[in-house]
Amino acid sequence: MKNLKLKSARAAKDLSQDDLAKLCDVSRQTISAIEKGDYNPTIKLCIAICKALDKTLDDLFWDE
Amino acid sequence: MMERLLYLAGYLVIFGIIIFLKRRLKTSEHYDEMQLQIRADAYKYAYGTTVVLLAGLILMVVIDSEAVPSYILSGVLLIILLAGVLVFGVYCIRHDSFFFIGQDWRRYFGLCIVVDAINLFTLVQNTIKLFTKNNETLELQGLIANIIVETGIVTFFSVICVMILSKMISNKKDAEV
Repeated sequence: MKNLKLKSARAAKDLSQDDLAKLCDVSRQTISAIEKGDYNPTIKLCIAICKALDKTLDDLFWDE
Repeated sequence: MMERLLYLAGYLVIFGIIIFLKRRLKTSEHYDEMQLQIRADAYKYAYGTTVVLLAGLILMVVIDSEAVPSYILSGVLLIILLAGVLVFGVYCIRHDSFFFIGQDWRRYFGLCIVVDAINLFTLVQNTIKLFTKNNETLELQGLIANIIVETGIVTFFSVICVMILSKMISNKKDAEV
């Protein structure tokens, strides 16, 4: 399932996928795969993304 | 016999030196978690491919030991090895896990082109020699063996180059701002 919350949080911070990838020390394709729902990140990466976007895990990764 | 053992020893020494240097010169090579997962799958498929092809070759030799002459066998074995590595390379390139984070793909691509060009030149030379000269049996066998090996190497690097280029073009199109 697509992660639109992540995409909108990233856009709100005016960050490209590449920018976010560099902040989290992953490849751009990994961020793209997470947003498309093609890859489930580990908790470690989820936390890194949340820290980069100033959001909580629930804000970005909780499936309502 | 002694000569063969020396060749084998030399190969093991060179291999050992490469492994030793690789460990000593620790690079900043770093793959992210998704890439590591994909690379693990790629190793699996490459291993499977190599095993299946080797099994096929062994079966062929067992059924008919004359089916594959010895001068062709070494070339075929190399091609089987290259096939495994190619499966790994193609799978990783397709899923963006071939290059580690921050690696410059252009340098690697350039190196592949150079190796490809050198081997293609030698392949063409040997092919011309095969059809134009009156070769003695041993020389003919050597030429055929060389041609098989060079065809494998040229094919390998050509496929890798095409895959890298097409992937980089599609990545550029997909990249979001």
